[in-house]
Amino acid sequence: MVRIENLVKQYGKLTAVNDLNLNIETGDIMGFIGPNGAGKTTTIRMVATLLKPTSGKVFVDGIDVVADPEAVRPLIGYMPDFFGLYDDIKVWEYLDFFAAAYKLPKPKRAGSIDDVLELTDLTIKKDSFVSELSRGMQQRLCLAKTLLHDPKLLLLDEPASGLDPRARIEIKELLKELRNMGKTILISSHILPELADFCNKIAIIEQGKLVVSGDVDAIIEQCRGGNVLHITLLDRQEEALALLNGMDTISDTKIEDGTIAATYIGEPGEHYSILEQLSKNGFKVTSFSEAQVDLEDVFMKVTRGAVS
Amino acid sequence: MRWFEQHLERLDWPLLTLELRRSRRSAKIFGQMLWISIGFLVYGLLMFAMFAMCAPAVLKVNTNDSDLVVFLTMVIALWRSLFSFFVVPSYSARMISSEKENRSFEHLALTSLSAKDIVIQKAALPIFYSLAITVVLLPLDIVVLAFSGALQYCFVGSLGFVCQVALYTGIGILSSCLCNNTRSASVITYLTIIFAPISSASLWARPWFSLGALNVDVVPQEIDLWLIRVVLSILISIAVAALCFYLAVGKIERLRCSV
Repeated sequence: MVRIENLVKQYGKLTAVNDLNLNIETGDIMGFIGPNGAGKTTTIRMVATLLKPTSGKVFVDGIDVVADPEAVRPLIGYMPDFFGLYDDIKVWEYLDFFAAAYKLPKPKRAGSIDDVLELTDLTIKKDSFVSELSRGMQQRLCLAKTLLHDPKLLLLDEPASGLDPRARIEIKELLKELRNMGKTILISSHILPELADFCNKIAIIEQGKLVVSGDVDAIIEQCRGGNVLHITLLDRQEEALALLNGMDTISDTKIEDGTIAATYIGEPGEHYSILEQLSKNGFKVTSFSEAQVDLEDVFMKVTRGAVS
Repeated sequence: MRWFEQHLERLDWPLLTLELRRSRRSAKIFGQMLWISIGFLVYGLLMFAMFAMCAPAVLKVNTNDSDLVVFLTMVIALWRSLFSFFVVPSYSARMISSEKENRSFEHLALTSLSAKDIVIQKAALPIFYSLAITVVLLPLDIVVLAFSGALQYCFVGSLGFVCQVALYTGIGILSSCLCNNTRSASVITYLTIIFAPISSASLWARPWFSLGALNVDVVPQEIDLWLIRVVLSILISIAVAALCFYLAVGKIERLRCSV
């Protein structure tokens, strides 16, 4: 659906996006992650035809976004991080305006407006003024507007930024519905655990360069680099540490807040043998668990916190 | 006016419909201007009635039908100039710049509207309003000018007004494309209009033309001279307005790729 080839965007001497290559297949939900100033928004705006790349190519559904932006625009729904709304009109008027601007046939407009209002749970606000909506509702209205012309590809730039927890959950549920509808979505967000819930792919970008991309599970596995076991003992921690250091399947040990953190490099799924040996040697183990690796760990591991 | 607006909505020009709905709600600009102009006309008539009653005795001035005609014509010409100079530039200067200010332009840029659609639909409102005002005032113009036997000129005068509005709208929309905020766009628009000799000429040609057309202390050759000036200013206004719209379309096309 989206093919980005050697994409570069420069603002004077500043290189915002540097030789970026990325593929998004139809039906993918790709989380686009990176620190502030990494080039996420610039990349999304180039895909959305709102910025011209300095060099490189972007194809949406096989169409070059620079050569034929008019053909690309009907295929995409772009929701920016900051949404400029006309707040002195009613919700239905706002959607009617965009339905007309997307040149939806007049007889179909009312139906399309009702559909997106229902999807975004805004039907009861149809006759309210945009200015009367809460920020979360305005965000959903912006998403409703983005969906009006039934785009194949959704480009969502920080859709949950500035929202309270309830509004975030509502947006998350809405995005899950869109995933179930088969939309291809490129979504940037700082709230990494939320992305992990519904993205099947991620791309991490830093200083305009792609650091890592691929299936979420594969990347997490790749970043794990050995399972970290957390072991809590009743006493004799130093002795246990010496025992663990002597094992072939343990590569590294340390004590953190009274708990031993040991990196297991043996066969996956056989770390119970460590527990067995500790018990055999008379250690009183009060807890034994495998540390979970999530997107935040991956993000912290592969990025250095630098901005371009 | 409401009837006029309802018919405009049938054009299915989304930006025009949006502007109509917004301006109607906020009761800004045109609604206010309509009432101001009606008030201005009534005030002018009252003032003239007072002048007509008091002046002969106090100032020893002779008032007759001709004076009334002169006064009415000047009132019409003046308020048209007020409308086209104070309302249209400030309105058209905020067309695209306000979109850029609140970042709604990036939503607009992704729609199926072409740059030409955006410019035409954004500029349509003041031009349609000026047409509506012309239609409303035409009977008054005809009555006033019929007194003086210069009826043939009232159509030229009305056309001049519409062209003047088109010119100011063109300058306004071009400024609004070039500026990122409404204030700068308004400043540029007014400066351009004030310093552009063409628009200034069309601005002051109208009241003078009206006076001239009434044949009040002006010989026929001078009337023809004023008529030529007005026709020329109309033609130049159309040409400059067209150039401004053409440049604005190009600028919007470029803006779409650099929001």
